[in-house]
Amino acid sequence: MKYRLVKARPLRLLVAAGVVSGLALTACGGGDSTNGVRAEVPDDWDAVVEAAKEEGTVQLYFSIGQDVIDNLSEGFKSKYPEIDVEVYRSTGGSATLIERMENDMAAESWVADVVDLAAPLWLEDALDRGIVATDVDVPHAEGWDPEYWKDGTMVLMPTVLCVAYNTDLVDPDEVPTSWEEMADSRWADRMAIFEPRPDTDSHTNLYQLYLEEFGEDFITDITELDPRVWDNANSLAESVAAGESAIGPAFTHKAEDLKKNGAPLDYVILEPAPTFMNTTFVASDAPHPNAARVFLDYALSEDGQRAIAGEGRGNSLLDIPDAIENPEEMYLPDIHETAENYDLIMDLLGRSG
Amino acid sequence: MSEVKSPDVALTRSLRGRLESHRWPVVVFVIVAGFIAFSVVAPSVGIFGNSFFESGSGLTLRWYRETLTSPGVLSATLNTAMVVVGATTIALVSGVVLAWLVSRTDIPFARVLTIVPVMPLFFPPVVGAVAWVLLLAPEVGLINEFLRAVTGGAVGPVNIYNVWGVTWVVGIYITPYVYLMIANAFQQYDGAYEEAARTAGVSTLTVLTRITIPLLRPAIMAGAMLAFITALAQFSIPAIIGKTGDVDVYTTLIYDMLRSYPRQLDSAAVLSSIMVIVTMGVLWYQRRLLRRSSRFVTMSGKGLRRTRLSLGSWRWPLFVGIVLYVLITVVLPAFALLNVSVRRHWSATLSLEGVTLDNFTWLTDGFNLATESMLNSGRLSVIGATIGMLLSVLIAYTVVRSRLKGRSVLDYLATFPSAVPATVLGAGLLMIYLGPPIALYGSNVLLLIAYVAHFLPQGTRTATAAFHQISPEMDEASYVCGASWPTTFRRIAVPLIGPIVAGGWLFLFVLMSRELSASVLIASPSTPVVSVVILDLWGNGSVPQLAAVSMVVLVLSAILTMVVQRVGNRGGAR
Repeated sequence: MKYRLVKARPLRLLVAAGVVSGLALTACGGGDSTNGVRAEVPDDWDAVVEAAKEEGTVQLYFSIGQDVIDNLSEGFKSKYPEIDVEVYRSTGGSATLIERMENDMAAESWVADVVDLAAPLWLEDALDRGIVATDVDVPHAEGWDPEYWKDGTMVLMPTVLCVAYNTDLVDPDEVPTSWEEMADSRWADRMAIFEPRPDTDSHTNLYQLYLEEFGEDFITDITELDPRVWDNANSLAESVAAGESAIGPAFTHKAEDLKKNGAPLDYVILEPAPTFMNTTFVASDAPHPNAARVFLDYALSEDGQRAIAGEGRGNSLLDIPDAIENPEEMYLPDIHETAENYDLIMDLLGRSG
Repeated sequence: MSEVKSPDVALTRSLRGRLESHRWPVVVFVIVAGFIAFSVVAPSVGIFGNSFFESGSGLTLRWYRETLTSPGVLSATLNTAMVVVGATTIALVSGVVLAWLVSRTDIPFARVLTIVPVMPLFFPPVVGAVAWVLLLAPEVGLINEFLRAVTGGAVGPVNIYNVWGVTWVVGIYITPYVYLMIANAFQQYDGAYEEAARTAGVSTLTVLTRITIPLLRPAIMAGAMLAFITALAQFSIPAIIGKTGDVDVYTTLIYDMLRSYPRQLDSAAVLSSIMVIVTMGVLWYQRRLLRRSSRFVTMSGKGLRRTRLSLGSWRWPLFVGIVLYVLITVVLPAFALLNVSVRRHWSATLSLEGVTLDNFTWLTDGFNLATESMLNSGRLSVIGATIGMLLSVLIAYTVVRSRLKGRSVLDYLATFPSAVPATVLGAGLLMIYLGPPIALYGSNVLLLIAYVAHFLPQGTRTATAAFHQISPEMDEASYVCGASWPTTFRRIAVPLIGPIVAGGWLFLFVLMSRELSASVLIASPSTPVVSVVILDLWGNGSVPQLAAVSMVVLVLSAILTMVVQRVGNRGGAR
């Protein structure tokens, strides 16, 4: 099989794809970091926590869903009431977040303490430029598989793509059992799809899967079904819930959320499931370096992961009982190859881009 | 022999002195020139330079060659042309007809109806775009559901996700801009010619087409130009509807180019420069028309006749037409939003079952970015509109009334920002004022500068149109009585144009409170604005929450619009 399958060790390929090469380059220092002055971080963890309370604030730059951020912040605040959580959640996902960080850097007013985003190409670059604090060590990192937690970069949560369908519009026997069925003629004028993105995330990963497993004609077949095209999987899911389309790829956490809100929607996880590992790191110029570490530590803890993924809110790499079940096989393509295919995919979809 | 001045000669000299005094106009000139240079010229020069410059090889046309031959840009060029021409036509026809009906005819409830043409302004375009998706989505759009129930069809029949959908929604939401531009001219011109024609037995339609429209041609053309420029710079509607329909226009393409990683600054600069050049051409044409408009002045110090034309048997059918207009442009979109705002997910159901207020309580639920952004947008818009209108009136007064040599330069300067689309302005401001020596990023000041600069032309145009409608003889009378420039400005000019200025303030407030294209680039985490939050909610697929925020924005701006409209009307009646 041409595509890469990963079983329960999803980060390995991401690492193989280049993150680690960036880490290696910057392991010994901050590169051309932004503000220059770095606050003291004590060696002793209790002292870090005390210093974090002193700092009193942690500024998050996150691209994940608002509900996940809210839960995580609330959980954190109940554990550390002395530390206020300031959140910037970007419009337009990681692209806007990157734009914001680049602006902050150019303005010489870096404000982010903890960053979460889905942009592996930028992250490689960020590691080269010393934007990521690679010397972070927190207690809860102990419990984590080193594949998911490496030199200050953690996978906060895997974002898993499933296929969501409107239960009023799709008969039970129509529900697809493999990705191959997504180009079936029964979805003509009934399906929604999303555009791939140049900065490679789970949107693009789905098309990379199609290319690798079924070839270019498969995407052309989908185009010929005249699907409704969205630029975002979340808007797409909402439109399937409304009945605007019968079926379409969506994130598991969004599908669960809609289900919980009574939408006539269900979803099926098709294997291998295109997955994206949102990466979280402490900024090397974090104005509140101690609070940033305490926050990251909380995010790695079971409490933190429960806040993120519990009660069916999302997927987790820890064993959280009521989290959304992870797929058997996570599909994580090579990020550079995927990025190179962006134009081809847009072309096959007949999108002007 | 000593010279003895006669009192007459002394008075004449003193009068000429006041008429030709340059002190105050020069102060206005310097303030405006400094502000425009800082806020618009410097950023645009940066962007323009980028389109012609390649590091290493200096001046180049490479970016133009590469950008303009790419298929995406070619289709965006076609889309942009279609949207601009189509939307301008829709806005011009509706704007002129509405202005004429509510201010010149005996349509029933005319006074109440004066609010109708500005009602679509209750909707920020980003909200309007979402509302129309809720109405015209092919499967679950409420209008489509209704049409299918009537016709028995299986799908559609209307699909909003194409260039026509974008054109339609842009057309609806720029109509008030055209109306506001021409309404004052309609209200304030002397009806003597119309009356004479009617007395001679000419039909109402002929009066409209042969007398009213030709007389008001400068105002109507100015309205058309404004519609053209506004449609060209429109970002949020194509960003919401066009994405799904694969209808990219220049603004959305520029935005995507600036957001991609790495940034395609060169291509964005090329498209921006083209937009600037096209817009400048339109502005130049508008100026040429307005320059010849002195012969159209029909408002004077004498009392003006404002009789209303009789519509005869068309009175009620046209009234029904206006009611339908309100239904389509305001009531239906508002209803679609309201319906979704009380649901847990986007749904076309109208059933009362499962209705919830959760999305509204969410707004007051502790810390809420949506609520905070509304407060910040409100604050920015009040300050911005006040500064903007004050500057506008000073500029207009100097340009129209003073004899300052460089006054036409001042006029050019004040209209220059409208040649720069907000997306480009935002990018340019960021580029220049991001870091030292003048670091403004992350503060409300940068947003305020962008808002005042970007909407200054609109304010100035309103104020200029107002001064054009007042004959200079009133100023001259003031000077004859011995008043100074500031006194004349305050006692004569301001009261005469007061109602128009109030309308202009409203105009700026609503424009600023919904600004998205520049804000999305320069608003920082500490300075959230509501339109950006709404776009964010759309991208998140949080349609019910979006609808709840939109309902609040809608109600607030509706109240405000009506209050200011009332103030304006009272001023007009004085």
